[in-house]
Amino acid sequence: MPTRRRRLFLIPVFLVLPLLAIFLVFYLPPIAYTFIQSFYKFSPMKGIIKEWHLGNYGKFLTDSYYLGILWRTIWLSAVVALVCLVLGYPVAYYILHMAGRARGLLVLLILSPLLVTVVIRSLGWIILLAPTGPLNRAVMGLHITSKPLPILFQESGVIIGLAHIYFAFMVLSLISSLQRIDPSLPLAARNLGANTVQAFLRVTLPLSLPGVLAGSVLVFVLSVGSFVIPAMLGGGKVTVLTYLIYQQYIKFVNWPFGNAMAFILLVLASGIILLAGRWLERGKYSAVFQ
Amino acid sequence: MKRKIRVGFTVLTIYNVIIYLIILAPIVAVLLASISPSEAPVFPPNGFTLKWYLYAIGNSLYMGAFGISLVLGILTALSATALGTLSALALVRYRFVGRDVLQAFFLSPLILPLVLIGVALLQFYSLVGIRASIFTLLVGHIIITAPYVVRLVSVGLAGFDRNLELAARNLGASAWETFRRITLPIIMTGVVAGAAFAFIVSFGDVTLTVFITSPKVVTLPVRIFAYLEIRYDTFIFALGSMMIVFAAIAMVIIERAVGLGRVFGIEPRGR
Repeated sequence: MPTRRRRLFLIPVFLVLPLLAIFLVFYLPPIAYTFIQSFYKFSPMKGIIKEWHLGNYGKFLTDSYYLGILWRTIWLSAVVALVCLVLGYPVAYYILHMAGRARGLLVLLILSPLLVTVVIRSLGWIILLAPTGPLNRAVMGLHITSKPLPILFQESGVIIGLAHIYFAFMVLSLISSLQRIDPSLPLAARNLGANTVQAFLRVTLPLSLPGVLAGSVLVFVLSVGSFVIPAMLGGGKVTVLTYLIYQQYIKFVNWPFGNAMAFILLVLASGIILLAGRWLERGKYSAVFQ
Repeated sequence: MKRKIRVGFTVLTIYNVIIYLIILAPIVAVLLASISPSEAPVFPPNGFTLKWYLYAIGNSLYMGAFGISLVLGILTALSATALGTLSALALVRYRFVGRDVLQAFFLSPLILPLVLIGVALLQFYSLVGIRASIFTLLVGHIIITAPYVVRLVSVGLAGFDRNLELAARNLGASAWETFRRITLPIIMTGVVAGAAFAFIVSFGDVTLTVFITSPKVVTLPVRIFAYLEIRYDTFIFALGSMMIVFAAIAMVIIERAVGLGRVFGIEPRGR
């Protein structure tokens, strides 16, 4: 019996061992090493100096140039989350009011661009938003403006590209939350004299707030960490945190400073997740999850 | 009253049609721009030619990168699925010390910015002195895709009636036979979904890969990304179209095998 018990204990160990080995060699130590290096000094002449200091973080958090980029990263991501939410809510609502087969098809359509790499989708936006592209020709043809709209290689272009790739995540999050609402609740409101709009605003919308929050946080965090879209649709002019880190590694060689910025990025992303998690668990919406 | 609802619904339908058109627009734009004869990209196309495709197919630099992406995607899908499925089995089936910590550890790459994982691997490889090869890329891709497999297979295992396995064992099946004929078919949807996700993520990744490639081992998306920093012409749209067509073929294969809806977890299991 003891041998059998020991064998039983060994089974899960053997099962997780291959993946655990890869994670313990190629994931945990590199991240830890990066963290340690973020406290090292750097000089353009001597390279990386193994002396501990907080200067890399201090440099980022006191220089208005870097703070400006941090702020731009935050507000761009917030705008993307808001755009996805406002445009996505009616889509989620519509999908849920479709019959089974059409519903599956609509969700598939929303998801299908995810199969195409983000580089190609950005390429598509470049040609659509270009000064001589179809959008600007249409706008100028209708005499709305005389000059092409400055969208491409501007913040607005980056927002469009990011909203496009993360739209599906918002819609799925809203659907899963709307799905959990008992359909008899808005009906009851209607029976008690509310009109459609009132029933929606006073019953359906408040009940879907957890999905609204979850989707917004997801899109925000994904946007904060996105690299390809700001690089391609920003054309090197819209610098966000990820692009700054990339430059630090490719053009300059101040790795310790790049490491510090990568961890500031991590704190920004995970901080929002933790905050939202707290609020969802403790707040008045906790009942929804029980 | 009824009429007002009807009008509201029509407006909603029109709105949705517009949104869906916008969602598909960039992909259609890439496909259409690729058949333009002019070297400068235009949309809509100003003619019809397939010369950019012939040019792309004849270019060993880009076809080589395409081959690397394809091999890397398949290797990533196979290894991440195998390793992730085994881990999910352990995490869902067994109670052991540190199980929750281990689960959080395996899922953590989903929360970490890819840029951070990229720079960490870059520094680690250069510290240890490992040169870039398809295997160094593979390790990075396994780390970012295995969490999807762990999660998707775990979901599939959670609703699994263990009595089915016990019954098989009682009826004389060996442990391996039970796994192959009972367990595997039931968790298959999650496994295939995990493999599909792993392939899609690996095949399209730039953010992680750009840090750990070398001039000799470059994937196609990274090559396109680098090309666009210097040049912008119709040729690159032909390459992009080939990737779109490839994604469409992958989609059809997945649909035939398990049904896309189930892969994305939107359709009920017993469709």
